[in-house]
Amino acid sequence: METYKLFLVEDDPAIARAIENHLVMWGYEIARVKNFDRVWEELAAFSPHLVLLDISLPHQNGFQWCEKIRKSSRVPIIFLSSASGSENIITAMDLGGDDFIPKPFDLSVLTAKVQAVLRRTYAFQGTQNQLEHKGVVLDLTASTLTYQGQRLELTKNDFRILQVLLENAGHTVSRSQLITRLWENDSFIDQNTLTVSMARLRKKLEELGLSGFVVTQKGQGYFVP
Amino acid sequence: MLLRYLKDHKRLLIALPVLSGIALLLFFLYGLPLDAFFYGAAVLLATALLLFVIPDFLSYSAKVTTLKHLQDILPRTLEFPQWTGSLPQEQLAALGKTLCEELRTREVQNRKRQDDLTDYYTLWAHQIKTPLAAMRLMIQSEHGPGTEALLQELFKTERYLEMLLGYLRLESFTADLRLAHCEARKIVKDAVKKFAPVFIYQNLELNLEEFSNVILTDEKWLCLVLEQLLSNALKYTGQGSIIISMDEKDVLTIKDTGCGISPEDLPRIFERGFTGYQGRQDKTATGLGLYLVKQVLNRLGNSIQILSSPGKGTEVKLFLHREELGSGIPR
Repeated sequence: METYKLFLVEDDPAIARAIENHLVMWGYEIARVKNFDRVWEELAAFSPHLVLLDISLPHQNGFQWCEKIRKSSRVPIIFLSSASGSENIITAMDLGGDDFIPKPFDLSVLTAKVQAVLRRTYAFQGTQNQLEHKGVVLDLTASTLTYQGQRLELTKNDFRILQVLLENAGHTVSRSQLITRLWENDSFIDQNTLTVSMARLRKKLEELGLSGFVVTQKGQGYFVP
Repeated sequence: MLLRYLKDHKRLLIALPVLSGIALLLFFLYGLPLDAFFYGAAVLLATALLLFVIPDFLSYSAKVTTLKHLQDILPRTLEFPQWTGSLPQEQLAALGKTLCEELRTREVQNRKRQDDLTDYYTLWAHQIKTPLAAMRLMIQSEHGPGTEALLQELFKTERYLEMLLGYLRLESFTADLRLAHCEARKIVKDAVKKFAPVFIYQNLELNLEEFSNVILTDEKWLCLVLEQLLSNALKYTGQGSIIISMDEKDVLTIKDTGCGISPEDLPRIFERGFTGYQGRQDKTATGLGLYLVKQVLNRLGNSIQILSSPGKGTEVKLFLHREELGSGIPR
């Protein structure tokens, strides 16, 4: 499997370091800008699959760099910025940005958005809206699960839970992380609802022969090995 | 005014009979015909009135009216007009002019001082976002036992920062205002999502009812109001739920099952710095949240009503209906 290369343009060292450490843990190759005078040159040399771009930078700002990059490249760009008014977001999109993450942000949001943009840009036709893991295929547009030829319809919430777990396959996702992700998708569930959903989801997976697909880590959360 | 005119010229008025008396006496002592005196006096009096007194009175009257008018508008304009008249009058006018200039200068200086301070705080608030964002990322990377609690405290800090930025932007409210037709539920969703971690941490339920009202408002200011109200509701609700609904008259209701507000405190909750019973209990209330909400709503032209049952909960009603003026607003 190809290792995706991410180019990080962020001038605050603490934030840059935290982002780098986290994304490296997720199996990405990260390069950070060394000289903020030569962002384009360093980017071109690294040839990344995706660029994470802060807006307030020394020398030229993120918008200016985006314009420069867009002159010769369609590489996906995700903006990160504390200047998050809607005018800034609109400008970012108009200049060719692919997404915008306002600061302060959660690492899980960063990971999810990076994954989404990479999938949109590089996944093969037909697999762009799919998540696959150990033979289980989630169709993100139809909200269905397919395994060994059998298709399962899931409720919106149950599907979303499974999607988050699959996006984080191999890593533990805490209950609060799960609930937060569902809230981001307008499902305002609480702890009880999550418990009920998990039970229902597991029962359905069992029916497909997938018992043990989702593992509970006591006190920590859930994960899909 | 005539009486006052006479009073102001009383020396002349007294001089008239006195001098006439002396002239009469002279005529008498010289044995001159007295009717010549009376005739002369009458002619002189008539001439005086016509050519001097009446024009003088008119000029006096005009000046009095002008100055009365000036009394009303000067405090606002601080512009002292040109003045011609007697030397003492012109000196007083010059004095008035000097004072007006001084006041204008001071106003400009104060304005600048205030703007400088606001600019500084705004810059500071933006600067501090960076270390806060860094802390958030670093805490999340740790996944320790204290992570959740730390993130809650960090969240509170970020909320206080948002409140400060809200205050600073109040100054330039009209310049900032952008009215548009918005889906009310979307704005509520945006506000509510920011508080997901708090709902989860405090294990509170959110019931966001379905409604499809479209209202004419400024999205970011309304969002600020909602965030502040949610922050309050969450702060004072230990268990239970928060229900958000909206009726067909565009009245948005936020209802919580919290500790409520006592009837003695209720009339004063929008006062600047008022912390009420609950606030003083836990020492974390600033008394500024609802004050900010009221300030924003006043400027938006929307009203708010708060009902509460101590021990049961609080209900906040926002009246978001706005009459459309004429046909100029495109849908």
